[in-house]
Amino acid sequence: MESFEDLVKNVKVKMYKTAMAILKNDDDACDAIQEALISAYQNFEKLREKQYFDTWMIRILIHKCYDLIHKNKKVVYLNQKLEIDMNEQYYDSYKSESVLESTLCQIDTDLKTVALLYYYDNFTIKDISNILNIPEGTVKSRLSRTREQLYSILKKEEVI
Amino acid sequence: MTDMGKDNFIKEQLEKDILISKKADEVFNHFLKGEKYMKSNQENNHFVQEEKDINRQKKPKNHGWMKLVSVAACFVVIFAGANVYATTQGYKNVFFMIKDLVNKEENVTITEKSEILSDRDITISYSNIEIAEGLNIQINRLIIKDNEAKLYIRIIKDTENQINIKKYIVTDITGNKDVVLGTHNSTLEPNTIEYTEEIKLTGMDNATQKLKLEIIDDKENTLILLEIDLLNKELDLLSYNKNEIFEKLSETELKEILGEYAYIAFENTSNNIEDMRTNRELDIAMTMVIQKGDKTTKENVHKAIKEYLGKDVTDTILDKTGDIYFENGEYKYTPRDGFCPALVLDIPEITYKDGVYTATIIYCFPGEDWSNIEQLEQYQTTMEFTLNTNYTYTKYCLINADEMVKQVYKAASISVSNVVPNNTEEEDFIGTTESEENDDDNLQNVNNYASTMDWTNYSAPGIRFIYPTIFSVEEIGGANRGNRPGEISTKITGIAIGKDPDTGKIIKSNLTITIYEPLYLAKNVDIRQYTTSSNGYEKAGFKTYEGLMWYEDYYKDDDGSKETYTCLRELTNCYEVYKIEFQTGKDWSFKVRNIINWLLGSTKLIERPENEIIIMNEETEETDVFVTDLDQYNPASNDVVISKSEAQRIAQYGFEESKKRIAGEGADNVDSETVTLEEVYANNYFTAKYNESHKNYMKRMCYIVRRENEMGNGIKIYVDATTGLIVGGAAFGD
Repeated sequence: MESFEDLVKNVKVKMYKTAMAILKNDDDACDAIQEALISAYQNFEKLREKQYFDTWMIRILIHKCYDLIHKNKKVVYLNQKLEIDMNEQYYDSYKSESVLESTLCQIDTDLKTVALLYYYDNFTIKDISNILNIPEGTVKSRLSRTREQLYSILKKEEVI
Repeated sequence: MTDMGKDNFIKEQLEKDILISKKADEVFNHFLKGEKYMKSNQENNHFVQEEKDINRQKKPKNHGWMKLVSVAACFVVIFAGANVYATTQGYKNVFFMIKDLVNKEENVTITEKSEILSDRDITISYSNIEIAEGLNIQINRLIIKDNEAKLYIRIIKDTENQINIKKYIVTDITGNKDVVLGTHNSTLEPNTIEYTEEIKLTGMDNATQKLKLEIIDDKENTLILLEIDLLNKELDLLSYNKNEIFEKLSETELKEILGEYAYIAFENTSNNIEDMRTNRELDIAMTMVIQKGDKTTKENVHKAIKEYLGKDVTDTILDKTGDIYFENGEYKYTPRDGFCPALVLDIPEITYKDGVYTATIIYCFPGEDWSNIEQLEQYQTTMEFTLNTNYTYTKYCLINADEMVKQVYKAASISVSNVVPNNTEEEDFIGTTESEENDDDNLQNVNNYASTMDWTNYSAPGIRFIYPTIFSVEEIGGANRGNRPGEISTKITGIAIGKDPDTGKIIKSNLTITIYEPLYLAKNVDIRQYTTSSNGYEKAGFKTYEGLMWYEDYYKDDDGSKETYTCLRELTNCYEVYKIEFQTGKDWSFKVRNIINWLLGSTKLIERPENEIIIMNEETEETDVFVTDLDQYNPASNDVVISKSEAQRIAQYGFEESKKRIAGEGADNVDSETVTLEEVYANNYFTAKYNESHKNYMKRMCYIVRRENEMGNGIKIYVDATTGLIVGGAAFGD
């Protein structure tokens, strides 16, 4: 049976991409990842079906990301502005290098999360509906728009 | 390529990206190193613990004699106490009592048998359920391990929230069961904003499929009652607490009912109160009947009076009033110019006790002049209601109304001038109430309204709370209009009266409602793509009484004054999609549901016979976006209605079509796409027959969507900014 360490190694890129797509900030993404790892580690023995580790881990992470947004939303101090600006600078450079980010940043904001959860994290429509708390029909319609946009962007990049 | 093919391609491409930041990499590395450390620590701790246990076992029993003394002392005390108790119970001493107890027949039966539970880990939901303002819960999971079941509930609380959860009660309600599995007292520490409750469930068996969760606050109110379906991982709301139910009813239904049907027929200056009251009763009853879609027959109107007022007028024809008369078995209105007996301005309080709702209502008497409502004196009265359990027209029965009309506010005490928007420059608006000139405008609209209104078809605006009160209704294209789907059907301009959600002040605002001709979509079409912007969402539980589903579009003007709503109705073979736009002078939301109920329910403004319906589906839509007969094309307005992104979506069909007609150079170059808004001549670019020369038609405000290739050759598509139809185009370049 794979160890916690091995399972985390397999899912770490996915975790990072997911956290970045939601939080759009490297520091916050790292915080959320750390929180999620701790929580997952503490509950690892309760996960009976280890083949679902990826999904389980990503769910925890998404939950932590939203927790963070929820907390951050309340107070933004002025002296954090500089930090935020710097993060944005980092994010910009990361965005230009990452295929995923550079692709996602070309599609509508509300489609990004759906795109990521569906194409990258392999969640089902029902799961996405639950995670984002939106009707399944909305997920489907967003997905349909996402598909066209992503396909045309990626196809073009592939040609280049 | 199929959707699945595209999906696979996208997944493949995205998975190629394995870039992660240095910092994130460090987090993983540190954590995983730490994990090893933790694991080895745990192992060490385990070893240390074992060692401690072994040491404990090895320790010599040095104090055995002290224990013996203690035990002996205890026996003496117990024996003495038991002897005293035995004598009080009629026994000689304690030995006789013990003998008697031993000889008694065993009458205890074993009723419960502990079962072995299969281990399960059921993830239920990570969605927030708001159980009070600033208090959310998530029913995360149920874990059964080693024959022990635990339900995990996450509580997310805002610091402002003052509600204290006291306990959780979980009941097995599978089938007809009603067995409490666990009661758990809240472990919430003050000032905690997020925590997880672990509720131990005992007596659960493998057949348990449905649980009921009740959360109770420290005032013993049930905050929420949820059904948890473990099989389907679904949550269903059983009910809120009584106060919550009342609060919801009072805030929505009762206010609507009161706003529309408040019984304030008595004016203290009238010398014929009885007539006015009868008239008002009839008016209310007739409105209820009309809104239900029934005829205003004697039976129906009298039934409504009986339901609303508890008055039995079965055999009496109420035809002695000025406004309403009885003819050919039906009650009818005598049209009067905009007269309204009273206008409800606010319902500041509704209380509930022992089945009776008591509402405080502030109102005024605008009479025939609705232009100076804020200058009129305001009055207050109270009304009491009960619920009708079995009803046709109204759920509420008025049981008592305060006959004493009390004047509570002088007009001067209400400040409205600072919140009335200044839109005098806006052509669409009919002016504010701040100048005499505008008042004249308003009066003109009263007349306009009155002359347009057919009281038998239009529900009287009458008494309205947060309703538009003065209207000018303009039906674009006339009664037999041949407007195309999506074109403007009706414009209503007027003054709306409501309560500013921020300040709580009563305000007046100009209001323009634009109603578009409905679209009819085949059922295989994903409706949301047509009805909403990307931000649109279904408004759960937000339905008109006609059962229309609502979708709200976040589209707003820069000043936030325009809101677009879309709703749809399911017909036999298609969906009927309505788009309605509200434009106010400032950013405040009306209770649009009321307005639309009125528009759709009473006016039947946008109803079409089914045989005239052009059903759009995925195949026909492409051709339907082109205007094929430009000679007959003559939209009544040139307003910009559709958004830039909508125009771009529509233009895509133009680009596809252009590729079939000419070389279509540049049509595929999506990157080069630009959009401008200009007035241009519609033309026969898409409709020209073979050898027909270029021809211009009327000028239209259009989005010009343009694509070109590297050589500067390209295509322009003209999308009518009002109707969203393609009215022409052009090729440019070499």
